[in-house]
Amino acid sequence: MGDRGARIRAVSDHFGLANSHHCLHVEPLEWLRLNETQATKGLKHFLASDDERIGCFLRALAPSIVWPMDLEDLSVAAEVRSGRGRIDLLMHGRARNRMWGAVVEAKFEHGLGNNPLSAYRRHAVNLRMTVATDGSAERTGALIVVGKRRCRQTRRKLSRNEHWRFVHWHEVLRRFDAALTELKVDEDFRRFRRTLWERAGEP
Amino acid sequence: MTDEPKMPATVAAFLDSPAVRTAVEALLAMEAGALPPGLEWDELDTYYLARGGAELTRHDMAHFLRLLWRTIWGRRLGPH
Repeated sequence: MGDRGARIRAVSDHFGLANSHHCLHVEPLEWLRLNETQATKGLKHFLASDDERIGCFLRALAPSIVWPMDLEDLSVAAEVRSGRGRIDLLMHGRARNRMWGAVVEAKFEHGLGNNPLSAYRRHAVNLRMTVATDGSAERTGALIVVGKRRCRQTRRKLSRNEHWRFVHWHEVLRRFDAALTELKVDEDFRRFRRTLWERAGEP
Repeated sequence: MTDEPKMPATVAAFLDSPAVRTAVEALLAMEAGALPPGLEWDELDTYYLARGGAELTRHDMAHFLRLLWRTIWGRRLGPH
């Protein structure tokens, strides 16, 4: 079965554990069980402190979009009113005379039933993001449901809402943690991400 | 005196590193035949290598524990 060292390094490589910033190097806060609002507001708080973090998070959400490295006027907001609902997390910035960004609906246990995804999509379009199918070179906006499992109700809702995509929390965090490069480790942010990882992995 | 069983590198990393342990457990939590929602096509290669490493760790752990059992108790507690 080959070199065991190499086989276990494949695990480390896929998760990017060589990065000293990685959240899996610390323990989660056992006393904190995040709800959806706390998760998105916490993310907004930590991402807002640095444009590089917002760019890194956008790439982790939708790696298939060719995100420009020179995004300007970046902003992140949580609980943004839109139609009959509120967008959990909205990020956008400008580059090459175009608007780039993501609309994120964050879920743990709750279904998508009451979320007006079509209104959220219009919100992205009104901001002049180009939402299109995966792989389109024109795409500048990502519509992402980030959650724990793609249940039947979620699949049905997404099938009626073109251009939305479901991504597991762990996939977003894995890519973000592998790519995050900062001069100094932000221990509060790292502990928050690790706690979020644990929350997303609950059965 | 029986030789001590040698701990495989997979098991050593699993026990030594909480980060590796969490990663292995996340990989093994995924149902056989399913992929993590949101995994990209160009991540499939490293994903399957990692999943293989996690499965091998599960095998090595079971095999190593069985060897330990045999080394410690021999045949005094019956065949295991």
